[in-house]
Amino acid sequence: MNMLLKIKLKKNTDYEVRVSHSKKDIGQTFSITTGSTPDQEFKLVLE
Amino acid sequence: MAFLISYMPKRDLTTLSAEFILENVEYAYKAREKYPWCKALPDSIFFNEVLPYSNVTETRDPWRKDFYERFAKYVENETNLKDAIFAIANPINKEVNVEYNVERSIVDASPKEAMEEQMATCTGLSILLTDAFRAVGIPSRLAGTPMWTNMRGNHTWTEVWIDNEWKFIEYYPKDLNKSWFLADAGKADPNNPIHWIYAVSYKPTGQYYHASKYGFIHLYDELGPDGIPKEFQEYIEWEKENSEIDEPYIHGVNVTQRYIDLYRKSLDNKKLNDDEMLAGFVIFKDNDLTNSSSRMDCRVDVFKGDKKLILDSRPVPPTI
Repeated sequence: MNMLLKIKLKKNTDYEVRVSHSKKDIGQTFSITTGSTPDQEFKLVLE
Repeated sequence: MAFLISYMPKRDLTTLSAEFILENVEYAYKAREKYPWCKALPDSIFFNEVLPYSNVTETRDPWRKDFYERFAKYVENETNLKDAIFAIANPINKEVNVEYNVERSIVDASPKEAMEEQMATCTGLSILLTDAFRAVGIPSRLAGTPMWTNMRGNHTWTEVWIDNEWKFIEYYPKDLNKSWFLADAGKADPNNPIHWIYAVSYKPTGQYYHASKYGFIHLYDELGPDGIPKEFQEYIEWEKENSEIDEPYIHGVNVTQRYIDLYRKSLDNKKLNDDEMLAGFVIFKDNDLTNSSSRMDCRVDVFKGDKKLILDSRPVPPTI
């Protein structure tokens, strides 16, 4: 079981990730930095 | 009828009524007569992937007549099998009023149970979709894995027989052989049955479908403790002590290599430059990262400065 979007990004780069869900009143922004590997998983925990 | 009786699990032989079986057979043959894609099927596919009244361990509720009548309107003008597949898959959630929701009470819900609760997770949703396909004569079966190689859990989905091969599709469809889980399925381990991709077969195949409810526990019995990761052994022992676990009776085939090949082909089609990587995002509602119920189905957008990147950020329902 999982929920995973695979998105092509640049290595070693800072991004802002906006997580939202209109029906559940969720809207939160996370800062991430990609690494140098070809595949990376980010676990984002909502507050 | 003889095919169904010959390979019927013992539990069904002693509990299903003649009326149940007869209605199932009658409406399966109505579909074979009515729809050109079903009429053209070889008997072996029709018997094993259209005619069966069940998929895995779900309650044996009579769905065939209801679904035959319910879904006929979506395919009455279709002559092409692929169009018929999406004519069913695209509106099914609205038609049956069932959406993904981990609050469901039954993992392997039958169509009736899922529709009563108006919710299901991946096994229940896949059963709904597979039965809807079968009701209009489209050969379909469940597929799944007991455990991804990244140990993030299991998953179940649907396959359809088209152009003389099996292709996968989900309850929330994108296209055939395209879904968020291909990257995980493509990393399946052909050397470890826990990480295989299985597809269901009604007819015995010489092996079981270990991606169903308690399939993990059947594998534990088959492989012994050394074959199961230690972190799951305590859970399995608890389930064995506290649940009524039948002997395995869902037959299956190992389709792992097909998914590995599909994934490799998909990578070839979207090769990364040296400075690029694939980022995956999993959203949790709390810090319990090991609990599948903590995962959220959210929209994800990624920004670089003020620039919103063009992404496939349609919310993808988590599945179980």
